[in-house]
Amino acid sequence: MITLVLVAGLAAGREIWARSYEPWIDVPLEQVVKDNRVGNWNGLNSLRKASEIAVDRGVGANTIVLLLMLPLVATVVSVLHYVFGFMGYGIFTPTMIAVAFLATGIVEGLVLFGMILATSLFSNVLLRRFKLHFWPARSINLMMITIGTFGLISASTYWRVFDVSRLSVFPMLFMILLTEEFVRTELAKSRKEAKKLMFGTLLLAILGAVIMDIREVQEMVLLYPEMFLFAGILINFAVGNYTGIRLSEIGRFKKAIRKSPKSKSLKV
Amino acid sequence: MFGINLKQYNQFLTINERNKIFLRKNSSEGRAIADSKYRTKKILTEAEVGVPKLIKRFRSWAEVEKFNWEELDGNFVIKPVAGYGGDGIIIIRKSLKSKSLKVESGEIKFQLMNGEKMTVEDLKGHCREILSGKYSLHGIQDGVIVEERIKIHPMFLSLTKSGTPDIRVIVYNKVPVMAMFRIPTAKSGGKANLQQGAMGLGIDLATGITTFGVEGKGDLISKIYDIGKKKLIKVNGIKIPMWKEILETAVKCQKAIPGLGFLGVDVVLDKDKGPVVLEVNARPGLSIQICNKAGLKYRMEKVGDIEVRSIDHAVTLCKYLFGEGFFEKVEQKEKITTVEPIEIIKVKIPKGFKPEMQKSPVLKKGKHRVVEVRAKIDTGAFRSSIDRTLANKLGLLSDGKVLYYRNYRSSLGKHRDRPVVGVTFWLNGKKVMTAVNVADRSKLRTKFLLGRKDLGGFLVSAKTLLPAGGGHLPLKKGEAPKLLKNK
Repeated sequence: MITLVLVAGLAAGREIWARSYEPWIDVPLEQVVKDNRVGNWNGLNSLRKASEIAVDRGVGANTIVLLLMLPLVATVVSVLHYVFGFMGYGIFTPTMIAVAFLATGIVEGLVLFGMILATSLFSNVLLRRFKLHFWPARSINLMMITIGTFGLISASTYWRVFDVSRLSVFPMLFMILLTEEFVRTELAKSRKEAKKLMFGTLLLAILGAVIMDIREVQEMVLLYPEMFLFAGILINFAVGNYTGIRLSEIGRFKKAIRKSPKSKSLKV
Repeated sequence: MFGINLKQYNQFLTINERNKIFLRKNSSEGRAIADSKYRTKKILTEAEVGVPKLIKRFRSWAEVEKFNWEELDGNFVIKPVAGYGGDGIIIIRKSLKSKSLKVESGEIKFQLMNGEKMTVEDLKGHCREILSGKYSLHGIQDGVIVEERIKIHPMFLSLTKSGTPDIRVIVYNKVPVMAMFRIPTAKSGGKANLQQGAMGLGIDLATGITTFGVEGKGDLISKIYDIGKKKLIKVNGIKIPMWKEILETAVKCQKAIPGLGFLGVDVVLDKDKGPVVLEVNARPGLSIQICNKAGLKYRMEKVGDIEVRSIDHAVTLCKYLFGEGFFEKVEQKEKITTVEPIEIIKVKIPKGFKPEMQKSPVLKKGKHRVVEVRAKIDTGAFRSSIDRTLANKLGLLSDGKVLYYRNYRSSLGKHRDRPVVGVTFWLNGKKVMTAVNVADRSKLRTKFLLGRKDLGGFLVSAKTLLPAGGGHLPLKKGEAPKLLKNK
C-alpha cells in the first residue's frame, strides 16, 4: 500500500515535471520518424520499414508506439512478478490498465479508478438487498459507473481540477474489468487477498505506464523496434526458466529459518 | 547481503520452483481427480482409505426433487463437488421430527451445526444453487454430494469453535515430507485454509507433536486459545492422536492416485473411524514451511530418488529422516553429558525379531529388548555406521528397516551402495533415533561407529589416555599423563 502511494506520487511528480518543463514534448512522434529515415529493406529492419510506411500513410505514430510497447510492458510485468514477486490479476489486466493510465494520465486514471471501485462496491451493497440475478445486477452496476464517470467529467470541467480531455470509454472499460476481478476475488477468496491483488495490479500498471510514458523509450521503440522485440524474447525466456526465489519470498521465508546454535554462540 | 544469507534459502520450495518443476509431475488426469470430490472419494474408497461415507450424489435438479429427504436422520453434510476453500458446505446436525414447526416454506425438519433451522425446501434450494455453479471455480455447472458427517475427535474440539480442524500432509514420491495441523478461526470463517486466515501448526513427522505456529500466510504465533482449559496454551507440544495412522493414510492416498506425484492430503480424525480423508490437493500451499520452520525442497530432494517399497517403509523413512531432535533439546537444557571415546550403547532390537547373539545377552530396557554394543566415537564422521554382520544379527537389515541405499565416501575412497537403516539406541541413557549406514567393520574391534550427527548434546572427553594397545588405562592419582610418541 505504502509502496503504491510512493510510486504513484513519484509517477505523478514526474508527469507534472515533464508537462511543464520539457518543451520538446510537443514535437510529435511522427516528426521523429520523418527525421530518421531508414535505408532500404534488408529483412532485419522489416518492422522499422513497415512502421515508417504506416506513418507515411497517416497512421498515428502514437498507435504504433503503443502497439510495439505492449509486449514490452508485458515483459516488465512478468519480470516484476516472477523475480520480484509482485502479485496482480494475471498479466493482461496490469498491461491493460497500464495502457489505460497512459491514455488518461496516471493521476486522472487513479481518480477515475477510485470512483469506479467506490461506485461498484456501493452498488453491490445496494443491489444485494434486491436479490437480483447476477447479470441484471451487473448491468445496473455498469449504469451507476457511467453516471459516476459522467459526474466526474462534469465536476472536473466545472472546477478544472483534473485534465479530463483525455478521458475516453476504453480506459473506463478496462478499469471496470479490474473492479470485476476485485469483486470476484473478494467472493472467492477474501477481501484481504483481493485488496492485495488490486494494489499489486495498480502498482504494476503504474510502473508499466511510467515506462511507456518516457519519451526516450517511445522514440527508441519507434526507431529500433526489432531490437526491443528480440530483447523481450530473450528476457522472457530467461524469466520463463527461472526457478529461483522471488524477492518477496525472502521476507516470507525469513521467519522459517531456524537460528543455528553456531550463530548463537558467535553472538555471545 | 543486507544481513541475509541467501544460502539459507536454498532449502525452501519457492513458488517458481513448485509451479515449474514439481506441479508438472501431476498429470492432468490426477488433477482432475483431485478437483472432483466425488472422484476422489470413489478412488479412495476402492483403495480402502477412510472417507466420509457417500449418501447421495445429485447431477440435476430432477434428482434433487426425486430424493426422499425425509428419510435422512441428521448427521449429514451437503457439499459442492468442485467447490474450493470450503465454500458452499452445510452441515446438518440433527433432524427435528417430534416438534416440527410450520413456517412459510414448509415444515422445519433439520438443525444445522450453528443452530440455524432449515426446511427440506431450504436444503433443496441450496442444492440448486450448488448445481447452478454458485460455488464452483468459474461458475460452471457443478454436482452435489451428500455425505455422512464426521464426528470430530474430542481433542480437536478444544481448539476451535467454528469449523473442522484438519491435518495437511504433503506427500512426495510416496513419502510424507511435511505436515501441519490447520485450525479454523473466526477470521477464516470456519475454513481450515491458511490463505483465509486460519492457523497452522507445524508437526514433527516422527512423533506427531506440534512445533511452531503460523496465522494466515506468514505471521508467526506462539500461543493459541484452548477452549477446554479456558486459557492460552503454547502452540508447540500438542500431540496429535493416531499419528502413524494419519501418515499411513496420506501415503495410501498417493498410491491410489498415481497421477499426483506431489500432493497435499487433508485428513480429519473421526471419533470412531480414525483418519478420514476429506480432500486431496494437487497444488498445496507453501506456508507449511513457515509453521514447520523447515524447507520442503531439501526434504523432497532427500526422498526424490528413493524407491519406496511399502507403506511401512514410507512411514519409517519420514520418521527417521525428518524427525525433530526433541529429546536432544530437553536433555541439553538439563545438563551436558560427557561421553568417552569408547562407549557401550544399547541398541534396540526390532519387535518380533529373534536375535542370534552368542556372546552378548539380550537385556530389557522398559518395554524394549536391547543388546549392548561397544561403540567408538568419531566426530570426523557425519553419520554413524554399524557392522553388516552385527546389523544382520540384530535384525536391522530386514525389509522394512532399510531406508535407502547411498554412495559413501570414506577416507579410503568411495564405497558403493551402503544401506542406510533406521536404528534406535541409548547412549548414556539418552534415546537416539537415527539413520545409520551399514558398512563392513568385521576387521575392526568396535562394530559401531558413532558419528557427530547422533552426538548432539554430548561432550566428547578425550582425557583418558589410550595406550598403543587400545582400551582404557586409568591414571593413578598424581601421575602425569604420558605422551605417546610416534615412532
